[in-house]
Amino acid sequence: MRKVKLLLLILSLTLLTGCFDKVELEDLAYVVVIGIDKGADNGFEVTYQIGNPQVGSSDRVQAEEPASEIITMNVPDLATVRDLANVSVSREVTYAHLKAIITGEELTRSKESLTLLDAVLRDQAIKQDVMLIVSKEKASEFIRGNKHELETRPHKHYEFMSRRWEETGLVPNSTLLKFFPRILGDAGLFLSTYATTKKSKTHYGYEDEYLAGQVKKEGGNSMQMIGAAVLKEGRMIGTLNGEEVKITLLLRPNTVRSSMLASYADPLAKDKRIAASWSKTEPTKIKMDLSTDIPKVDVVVPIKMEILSIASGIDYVEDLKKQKLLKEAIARSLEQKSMKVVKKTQQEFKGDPFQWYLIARKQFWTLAEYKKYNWMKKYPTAEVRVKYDIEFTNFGRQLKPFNKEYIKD
Amino acid sequence: MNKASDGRIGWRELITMLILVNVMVGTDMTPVFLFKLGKNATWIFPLIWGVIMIIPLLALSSLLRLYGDKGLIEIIYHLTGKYLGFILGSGLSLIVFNLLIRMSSNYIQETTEIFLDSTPDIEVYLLLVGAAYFIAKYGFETIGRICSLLFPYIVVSFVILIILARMDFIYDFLYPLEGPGIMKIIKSSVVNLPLAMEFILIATFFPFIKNHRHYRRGVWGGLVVSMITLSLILTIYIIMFDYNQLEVISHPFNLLIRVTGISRFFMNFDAFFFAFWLMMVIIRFAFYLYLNSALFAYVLRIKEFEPLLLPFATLTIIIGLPIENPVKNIQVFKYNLLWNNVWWFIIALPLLLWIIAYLKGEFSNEKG
Amino acid sequence: MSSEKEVSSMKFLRKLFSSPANSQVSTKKEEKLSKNLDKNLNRLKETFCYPDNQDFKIRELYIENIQREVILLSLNGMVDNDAVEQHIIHPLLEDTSVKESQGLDFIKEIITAKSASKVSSLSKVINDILMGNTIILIENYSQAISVATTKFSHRSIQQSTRETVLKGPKESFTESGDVNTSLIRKRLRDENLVSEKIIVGERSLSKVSMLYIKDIANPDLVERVTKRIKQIKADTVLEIPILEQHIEESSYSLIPSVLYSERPDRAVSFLQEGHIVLLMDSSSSCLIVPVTFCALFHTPEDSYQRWAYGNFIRLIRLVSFFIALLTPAVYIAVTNYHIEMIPTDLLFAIAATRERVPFPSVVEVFFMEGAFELLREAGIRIPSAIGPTIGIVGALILGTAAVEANLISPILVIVVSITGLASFTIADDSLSFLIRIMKFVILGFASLYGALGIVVTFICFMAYMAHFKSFGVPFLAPLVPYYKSSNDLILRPPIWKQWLRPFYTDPEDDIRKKDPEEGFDHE
Repeated sequence: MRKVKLLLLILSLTLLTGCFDKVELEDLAYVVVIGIDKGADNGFEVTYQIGNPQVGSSDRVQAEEPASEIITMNVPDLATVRDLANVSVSREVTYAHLKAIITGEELTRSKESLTLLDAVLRDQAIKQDVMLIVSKEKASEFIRGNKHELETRPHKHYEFMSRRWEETGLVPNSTLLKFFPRILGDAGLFLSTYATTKKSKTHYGYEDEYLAGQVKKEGGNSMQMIGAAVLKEGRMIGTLNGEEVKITLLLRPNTVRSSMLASYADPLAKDKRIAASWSKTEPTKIKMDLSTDIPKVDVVVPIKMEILSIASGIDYVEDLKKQKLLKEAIARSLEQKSMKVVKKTQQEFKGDPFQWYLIARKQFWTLAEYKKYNWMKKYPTAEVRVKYDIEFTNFGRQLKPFNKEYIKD
Repeated sequence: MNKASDGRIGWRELITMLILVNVMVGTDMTPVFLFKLGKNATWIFPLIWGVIMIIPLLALSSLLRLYGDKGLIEIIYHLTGKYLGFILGSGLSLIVFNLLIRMSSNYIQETTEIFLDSTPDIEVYLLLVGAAYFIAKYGFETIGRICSLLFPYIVVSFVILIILARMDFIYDFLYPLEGPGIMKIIKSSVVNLPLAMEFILIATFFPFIKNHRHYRRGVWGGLVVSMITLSLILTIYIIMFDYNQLEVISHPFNLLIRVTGISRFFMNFDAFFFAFWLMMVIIRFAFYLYLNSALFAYVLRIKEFEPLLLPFATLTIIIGLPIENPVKNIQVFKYNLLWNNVWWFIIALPLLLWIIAYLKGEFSNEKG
Repeated sequence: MSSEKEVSSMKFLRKLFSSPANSQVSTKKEEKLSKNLDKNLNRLKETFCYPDNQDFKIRELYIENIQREVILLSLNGMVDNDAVEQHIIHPLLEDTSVKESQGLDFIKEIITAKSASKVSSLSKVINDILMGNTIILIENYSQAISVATTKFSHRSIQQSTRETVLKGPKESFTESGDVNTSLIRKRLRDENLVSEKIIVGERSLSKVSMLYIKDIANPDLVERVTKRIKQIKADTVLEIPILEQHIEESSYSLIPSVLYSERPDRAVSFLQEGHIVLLMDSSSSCLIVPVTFCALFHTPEDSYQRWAYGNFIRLIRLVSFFIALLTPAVYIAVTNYHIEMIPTDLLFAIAATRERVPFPSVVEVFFMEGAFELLREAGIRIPSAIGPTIGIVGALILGTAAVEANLISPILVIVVSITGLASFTIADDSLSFLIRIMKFVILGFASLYGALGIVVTFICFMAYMAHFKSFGVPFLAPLVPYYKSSNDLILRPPIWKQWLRPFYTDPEDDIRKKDPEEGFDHE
């Protein structure tokens, strides 16, 4: 009996302690999106978008409240923002369900960018799958301008969009997780999603030659997310439009894409297009020869294509010679585009966003040798050859295209 | 009445105990300074440890077979006499005590920093060390039984972890293969050999193991499996996060479990894996607490050491509390005079004992 | 007569308040019957408080041919009157072939009852009368004849109320030792099935039957159990549950060391694994010793159903075991300490509904769990006439109305009802109490420390379970420590593959049947 009494005494001690770290769900303000801009006097302007749980819940009393609360503050550094927000936000701010960090382009191009991102890494509360988005205008304007009409809650919007990259390839998968190895590896460029809510000069082009803001569309959300911002050593040095991003992702050694839609010029009918859905199921084969000072890189990209529509009506399907012609035409156009992108990265950016440094590492036995070689310096002078290996797998439901003249009568 | 409830454990309990206790090394902060030394070739380290361990283990194994019911400390006393034996034994005891304290404060800091921010350290200390004491009090048998009970489930959760994390693997991070160079690899790995010293120290408990066959199976099997698993864990760290990042991150395992499973499912599974990790931490504490008390007691020739558990537990808490932060912990841990010289002590001890026994002619009296 | 009454009542009082060591029992032991019929009769009348005790029946007979007076003594309510008339009185009066010279041996020829013996000590006579035998006192003989005529009234065999199965026999034990024994013996016709009888309880003289199969059960175990039962020093041991609490090894522990069952088929299956079964005359259940976790967890239904179905049921039960134990704790840990774990949508849903609830989550959970336990207890006592009404009222009040009144949040209703439902799938009484109590303990720690609390409690509980022994057998055998057995642990193999007896009981005969590879082939 004595033992039991002793046990009860000790147990009651624990009742007097404990309960640290306890939070009540409804006491928290869930920040869904953080926007960071350059502020006055070397400080930052931080914007919080705080999600409102009441909206969209099956609550009997429907609260007449907006879906989220957006506040902007000027702070000298990022770590103190959380407490400062309680000046007007009544609940405890938590980053536990943060979905995206948006940095304004002006800030990302400036020198403070790396220190900013370092502060973000140190913060224990920020999860690693947070999206990094660079917005063309100020982040606070972007967040306010992003009126997602179909989704009741802001976080859903970002969740959905962050998954679309896999399907469309128009934006890179830019999460915090991928960011740090690239930066610390000191050998490559990091691509961050580029977005905007302002309309810029729109032009009419083929489906992916757009940069954010250039797509001509009416209605719906004014936000457009396409293309990438290129960051070298933490600073933004340029942009890539949607098509260039797609090609970049193709040239990377590891990415495997499901299906994406694209259209290509018809080789035989000069102003008509052929629409195709293509997928890359095997990794890109990259061969490097680093024996000399000028690296030689040979890239072979295997693609499987499915032809969806042939606007000109020419029969590319059943005529094997025409198939071969189409294949070569598409391959050639892709190769030209790829070389353009490669040149751009070599000359303008002077760094490789294709993660080829990973292949470079394979060529050495020890780290010392690899570091001595310094891939980052050697890359702009590299000789690169890209080849596309295309296979037509399917032609849609119909084999032969319609013969329009025949139908018209 | 019952064959097996007589306080001895079989090879199943032994092997699971060794594996669980040893693999935990890969999940605390020791990988951090291992990565500083081995960069991206750190995964070779456990394999080297396994190979080097073979010789001392062989010597130890034959010594134990010779003296059927003596544990390690008793053999030391028997072969080297009172004074030298006392010095050797207390050296071992101090090493283990040092390890226990460093390790415990390490784990506590990891837990409080990552998961339970505002809980004061002493609470977590009390809970974890209290649980370890509770288990250790029931005896060696119980520690073994818990290990073999939980082992399949821990393996399953580990496999789930790997499957979920697989999508983020970039195997190219392993290259260049030799990392900092072969000589440097071997040198750095050997200095850190004591991370695998449980396999030598388990010999202290030889009287608690059913027979030599069980001991053999348990220790060899445990060595092979745990070294391979450690190597696997280090490999996973490298291919998930590059070696650059690893030198900077303070808690790699924690990062690993935070990162897996995200955006595949919609949940953050880290608390789930955290639960299993905590269980293993408690088991490791219990084992070391028991080992510590046993070493201390055997060196001082005390037969009953169960009452010593409570003082040791309290000592651990008291000494471990004042350590301020993890960086200080690592520095003290790593550059401790005691630690740097331990590796040759561990390898040399069984060989020394074996040579003494050989010279004394003990082996010629062996049964056969 | 009055002085006799006084003396007898004084003796009664003294017996009541004296310690067993000093009672009259010891002095009774030496008394023997005297040759004088009247003296014996008076002695017995005194012991049984006649004429206050109207149940003490005395029948006087006179047998012609041996010209003796014969008196029959019995206690009303314990004897079978028909048997007394037919097998004792009738042959004694009618049969004239008896000769004087044969002495008391005429019982061999005359008395047609099934068992009869000679007794000469007074205490044995008293015990026998208390057992329900009829005593025949004969003039001028210092020995009496004790004839077994016991018949107690008892309930007929009915379905088991606590342990129901869909497929398989539905009989359960009743409150008669003979019926129970017959239920067991008809299933297991083995010449080695031994039934030892031990008397416990100084005053109640209850008979405990210990059954085991002699060439299977471990003799050490048998001896251990026997010793334990004989050690019981109590005035009365009335029922099997009381016996259970007397013989169990750790009374304060949450884990039972004895299995309590109402079904004879379960008892038989444990018998043939080497366990020991204890039965008592007045109880409609049995005790099975030693017990392991698997014994508590498995139900007969698992074995009666086919392999796939049985394993399916078992998996469901395993999952609901963990649900019943951990769900409230996990809910608290996740919503209070680890909010990153919940998907954002669920989080918002919970936060929205909780905004208007005044109490913190922990208070809500304890309140609801407490209310559920209340419902559960009330449900057992409700008279069946108004039972369904109370069920509806309880569900309405506790569930819906509390949510409407903003006392609790709706998700909590789900958590608590799933927990409750899951706990009903556990068939064994002791195990279900264990789960209910542990649920509160783990919930308490979870509310203090979150997942850390759950893990610490869980692992300490596992350590305790791993260490616990029931009559020398580790509680978690044969999982841990490992023993060879027929692998009927978490999932079971088909019946024809279970050919080993579990080794933890250290049986003498290890093999139930031949290795199936030698037998005929199954798919």
